[in-house]
Amino acid sequence: MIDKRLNREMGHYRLLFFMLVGLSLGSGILVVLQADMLTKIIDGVFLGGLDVAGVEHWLYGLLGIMVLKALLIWLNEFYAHRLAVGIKSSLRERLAGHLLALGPVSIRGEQAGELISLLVEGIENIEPYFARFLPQLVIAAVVPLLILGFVVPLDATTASLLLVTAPLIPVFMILIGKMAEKLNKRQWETLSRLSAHFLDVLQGLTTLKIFGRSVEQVRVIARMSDEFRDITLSVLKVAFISALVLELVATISTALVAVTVGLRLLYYKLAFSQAFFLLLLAPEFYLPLRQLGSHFHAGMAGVSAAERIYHILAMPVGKQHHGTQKLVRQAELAIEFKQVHFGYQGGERPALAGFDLKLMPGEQVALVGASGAGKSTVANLLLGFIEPQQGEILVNGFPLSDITLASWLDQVAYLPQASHLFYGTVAENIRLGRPEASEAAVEAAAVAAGAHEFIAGLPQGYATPVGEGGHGLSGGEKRRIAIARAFLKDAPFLILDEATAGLDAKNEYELQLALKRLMTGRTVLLIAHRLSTVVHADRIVVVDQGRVAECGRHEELIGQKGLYYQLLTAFRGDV
Amino acid sequence: MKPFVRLIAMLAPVWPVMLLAVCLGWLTIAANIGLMVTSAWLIAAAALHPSIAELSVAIVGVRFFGVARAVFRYLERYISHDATFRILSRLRVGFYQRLEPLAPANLQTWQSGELFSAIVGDVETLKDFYLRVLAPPLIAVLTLTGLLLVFQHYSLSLAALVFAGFLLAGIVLPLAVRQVNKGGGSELVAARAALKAYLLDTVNGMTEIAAFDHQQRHLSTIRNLNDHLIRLQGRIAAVSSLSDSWGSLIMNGTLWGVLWLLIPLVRSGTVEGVYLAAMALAVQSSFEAVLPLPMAVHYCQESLAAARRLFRLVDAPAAVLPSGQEQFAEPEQAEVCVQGVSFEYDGLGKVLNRISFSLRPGKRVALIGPSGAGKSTIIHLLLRFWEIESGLITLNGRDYRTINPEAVRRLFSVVSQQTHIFNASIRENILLACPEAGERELMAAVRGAALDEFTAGLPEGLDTQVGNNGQALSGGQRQRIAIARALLKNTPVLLLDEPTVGLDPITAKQIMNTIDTLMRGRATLLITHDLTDVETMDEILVLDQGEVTERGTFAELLNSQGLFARLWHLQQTPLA
Repeated sequence: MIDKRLNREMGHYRLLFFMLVGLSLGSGILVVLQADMLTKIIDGVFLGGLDVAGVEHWLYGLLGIMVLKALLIWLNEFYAHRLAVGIKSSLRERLAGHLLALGPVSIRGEQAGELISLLVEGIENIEPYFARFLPQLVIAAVVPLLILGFVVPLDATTASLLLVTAPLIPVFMILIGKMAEKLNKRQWETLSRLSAHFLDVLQGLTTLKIFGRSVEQVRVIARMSDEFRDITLSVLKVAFISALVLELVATISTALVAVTVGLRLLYYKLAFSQAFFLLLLAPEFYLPLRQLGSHFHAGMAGVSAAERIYHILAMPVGKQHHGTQKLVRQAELAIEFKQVHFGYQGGERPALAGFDLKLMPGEQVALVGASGAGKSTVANLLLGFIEPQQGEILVNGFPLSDITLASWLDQVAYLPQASHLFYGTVAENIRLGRPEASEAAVEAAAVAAGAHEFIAGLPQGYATPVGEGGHGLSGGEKRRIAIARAFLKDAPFLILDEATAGLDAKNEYELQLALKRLMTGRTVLLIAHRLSTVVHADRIVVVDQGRVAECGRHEELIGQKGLYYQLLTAFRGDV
Repeated sequence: MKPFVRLIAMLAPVWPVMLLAVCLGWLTIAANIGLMVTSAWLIAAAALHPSIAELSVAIVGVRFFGVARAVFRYLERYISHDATFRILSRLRVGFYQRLEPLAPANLQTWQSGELFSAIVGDVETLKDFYLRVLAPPLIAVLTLTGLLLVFQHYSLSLAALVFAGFLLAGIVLPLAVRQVNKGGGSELVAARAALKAYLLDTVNGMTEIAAFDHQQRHLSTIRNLNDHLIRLQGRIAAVSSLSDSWGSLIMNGTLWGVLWLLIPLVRSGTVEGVYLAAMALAVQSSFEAVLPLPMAVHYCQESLAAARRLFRLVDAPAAVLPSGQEQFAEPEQAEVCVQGVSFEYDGLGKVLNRISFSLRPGKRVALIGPSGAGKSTIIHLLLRFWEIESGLITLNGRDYRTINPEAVRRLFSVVSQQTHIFNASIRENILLACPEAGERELMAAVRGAALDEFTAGLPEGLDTQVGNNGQALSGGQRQRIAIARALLKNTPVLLLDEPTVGLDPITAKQIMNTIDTLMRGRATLLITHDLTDVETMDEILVLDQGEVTERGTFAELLNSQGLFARLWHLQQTPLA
């Protein structure tokens, strides 16, 4: 019911929280005072025979209480929101920061849609927990006692009636709450699944259409949507029934107070002013408990979301981030892999097994091999997405794990297999390589990458929006923008991952020229399938099953007639 | 049609239920008034010490109202929520149904994050429209009417005061809230959508972000978007807290005024003293009907903004009308003729200019050319994603436009670079092509796509989950799944859009060999940049800037010394 981890989030907002509780207590006292004033006025007019002048001072007192009460309501809501907002923002930032720190390899198993709905709706669900549920919990414990304190000296019978019925409310609430918690969790899971599925279907709509399956997705979506409706309704049904029980206890008790007090009044055992005051206080006694019931379910939604949030926050971030040595910009970079082992899913799916490789400064080494041989893993290790489970990587003789990731990545330019264009202008996308670069530098990088010509032809040139929802670019154009990023970054070490896949021959030739310019004077690791790109490499390393199988220059390897020779003949089409 | 009216129209199938919910909502408030009024009267009457018999009706009444209120409230909530969720469920499905024909032609300008936010988030927002916007004003009017009928009996000024209180709390306050909150609702929806879209872009671009060490930059944009959202929420919260406090003040003020007016009436004997407390409490408890109205305005704005986005999305005209016969006997063999086809995307210049070729059973046509030459557009036209502007495409002699797009697509298998891999098992991803296929056919397709070795090595084999957009797979494995799908679908026409992209040469060769057997007896169109693949083609078309500049067999093109020959030499040189 109460999430300790969430409560800890309050941290320095604790003062705000106690202020909220204080404000609510103030409201509770005002309720009693208002009932008292109202009783005095009605008693005075009805039985005392007074006119307006006779009760005037009470009327003005009542007005003052009413204004004060309105003020407290305003302050209470205002600060409740302030409290929740601070916690929401800090949680959202931490969650987003953690996801970014986890990096692309660790979050591969998570669904983008689910992560995003957690970051947006999930965090929003935290608000009612802090703004309503938690303060109400304290109020429900204190305000009824406060009212009871006024009732006991007046009438012991009513006091005992209130005292007996009040515990029923929390008892019912806990019973029902237990049931609701399980349902709530299921509702959140269903919502996440529904969101992820929608996103998947929307992104794959073209593929579904080609296979004529897009229309039948309506059935799947209808089924999931109905499932979501059913589960939401069953959660709410529990909420409604608990509200019903609470309300029954409260209204029947109020009715009982009215009847018993009325009867004793009839037999001269009680004065009218006492009886009426008790009648006014009885509903106020139950109100905080009932309100707790209505905020309870909103609070539980926050607890369910917190479960997922803390699950992700608990995912470990690689220790490379803890390297402390700053690596200054090196003119030359030598990189060495020493008996590196790595397997995905905690080592279950081995990718590298005793991988050794040495890159000399300015050397251009090409990594070739069948898909799944472990080539991409080498790049992932060098980019700090993952780290060796055994063995080590040395940079100019220093262990990579001792160097801060930021200062290391500053020396690396990476051209991934499929470049992602962010939503933004062409210039912004190129600036990814060096955010502070001038317009002239961006353009120079584009010229060097052979991208300037097509960019100039775009409707708004460098200011044309690209990425999702922007101007569509072909595979070759995207790649040129990625090359321009690398030119702009001007790092001493370059990793090219299948940099020429998916282009036609004419494009490829132009790209080769651009890449050749890019590679000059840098240490380069080239991961390629199009063997035409690797022939000129200083050294070709053939990877097979996570190890280096062959290594040497093009001519040497041809002479060996080994794996490289087989790959090459397949490429030339004369197997 | 206005969004408000359209949202009301959605009520059509459930309106009697909704009306019942309104009545129950009113009865709930009436029962509460009844409870307070009878209790107050009971106590006041008891103070005059009559016989117990005179009080017995009131005693029963107090008990009845106490129980009735809780029961009415329960029924009202249950019924209104059930009906609302039915509407929402229908809305979600309805929106998908309207979106589906728009893809891919008219959805290109939308970020999928926005689409996603619309279908999931905005539909959820509409819940408030049916629960918190429509019923409260009706309930308030019903409650007020009942109260005025009783009060005008005693004094018109009393009735006028109550009316004024309701007017202030129920209309003036909500309008003031709306004035202050102007545009806040739609801004809020937009801010949430912007945050979502940016987060999606961030998650999808995680590789670049990590490699360029841009986490801080993205985090600070997320922080800004979050701050913007929070600021808007804060504005709305400030208004709603003020409106709550004013609501309380108006309610208590009315009670105060009623007392002020009632006291002289009691003194003059117009109102019996025994009713004083009851009438005061009636006024106080009746305000329960008015207090939700200011928030109703806020919910109304928020849900109308969401509705506007949703309607704008689904009201776009479809690029291809689902015209043509639904019933189209699927032929064993298909011949597709493209005759003088030209095409341009809305005002972006000609992509294709008078293209002609034909795909015949057993014939292989290759299409090559620089990227941006319009190769992918041809595939989109063949699949009838867009309507052609001039020229003609025929299928076995029949005009394309007379055949249902679905029926056209049934005849094609596509292996393209943009194939989407769904977050499901490998098996489910392949079976997408033909859900009714048996295990034997499935395994044959898996073998044909050279996936068998890979899947055999997985602990869960074909049932391995591939993750979001197939992220657990390498580029080659993704492509093999696409090929397995095409093998399984087994259609008379084969469209290959760079099928060996990202595969290592040995696997690529194996795949091309498999495709080679698959092409037998089928009409094939191969789009490729790999000129070694086109040697065995019956006809090669060289596309340059939307026009076919050269066509012929491999040998003919090499002899003609044109663009093709130049490309061929380019690709061969590094190996020379």
